[in-house]
Amino acid sequence: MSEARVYKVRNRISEALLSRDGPTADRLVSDADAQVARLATRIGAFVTDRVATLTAFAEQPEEALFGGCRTIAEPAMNIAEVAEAAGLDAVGAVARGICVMIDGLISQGIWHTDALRLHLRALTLVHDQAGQPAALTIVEELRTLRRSLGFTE
Amino acid sequence: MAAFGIRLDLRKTKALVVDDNPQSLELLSQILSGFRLGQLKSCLSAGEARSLVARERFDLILIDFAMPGEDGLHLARHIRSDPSLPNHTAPIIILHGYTPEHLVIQARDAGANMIVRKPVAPAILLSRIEWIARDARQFVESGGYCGPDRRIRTLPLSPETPERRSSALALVGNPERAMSQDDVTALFG
Repeated sequence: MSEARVYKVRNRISEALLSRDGPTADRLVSDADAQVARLATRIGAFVTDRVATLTAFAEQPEEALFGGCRTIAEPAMNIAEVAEAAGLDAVGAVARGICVMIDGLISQGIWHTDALRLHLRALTLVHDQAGQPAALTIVEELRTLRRSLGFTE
Repeated sequence: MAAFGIRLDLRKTKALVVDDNPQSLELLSQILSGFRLGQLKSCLSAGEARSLVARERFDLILIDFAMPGEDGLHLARHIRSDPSLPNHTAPIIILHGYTPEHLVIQARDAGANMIVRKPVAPAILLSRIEWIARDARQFVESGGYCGPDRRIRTLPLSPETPERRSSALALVGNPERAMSQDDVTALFG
């Protein structure tokens, strides 16, 4: 039986806490928020482009959806990773739901064509209604649907 | 969240960000720039990152979980696998678009210090960096694992342990009786 080696390592960023004249956390956060805000337009355009790519899959037959699920997962993840930074929270949430369903196929063996197609179509809807209460309702309904189908997230 | 009054000086911190999504990479870079990090390197693939971590020492490494080809977990394991690498024990934050329990466990078992959901909110990321700066966990190397100690607490046996054990043995000793899920769960309790 091999033994575990347990040892102390130098914490490489602990010195950051020793500063007396460094900026406060709230200052750092507000500066970072300002940097993020400057990217919003570019990220918004990127998300719009990716939504168009995904929407095209919605009309594909089941075999194409199943066979191309990894191709669908990539742009969906691209959206989920950044959409909120452009204020497109609902679009990000629906894209995240698509990733959850494809991950469900890989890790749990769950596949549901109609539910996936519904999510793909919903992307355009929530994108067009960004910030509207209807978009949040769609997000919630899709989450309920995924839960009822056994997807864990 | 990081305590708002706390002071954090990251000007001497050198970080590496690895993300295949250029928009996400830009977002992270801008956030870290807002945190006034001293030096930041970024790359779009695990392959590029491998050559960087082999020759440069980083104080903090942020890695996207889902990347085509070699994913973030493989890269984290690679960094942890070789004690001769300058970043063998460097703090690693794994980033992912969603964080269900099984992915959190995978990231932890790959030797990551933390997993953070994307898109990263600056307040959340700073609080995680602060948490890592305060983290005094030891490092563990054993057969299949290398990374921060995964034991988050050690509990003594509770006083009623012998009684619970005997009731569990009584259940096992009566094989004709079908066990309910509660019975099974009690055996592990």
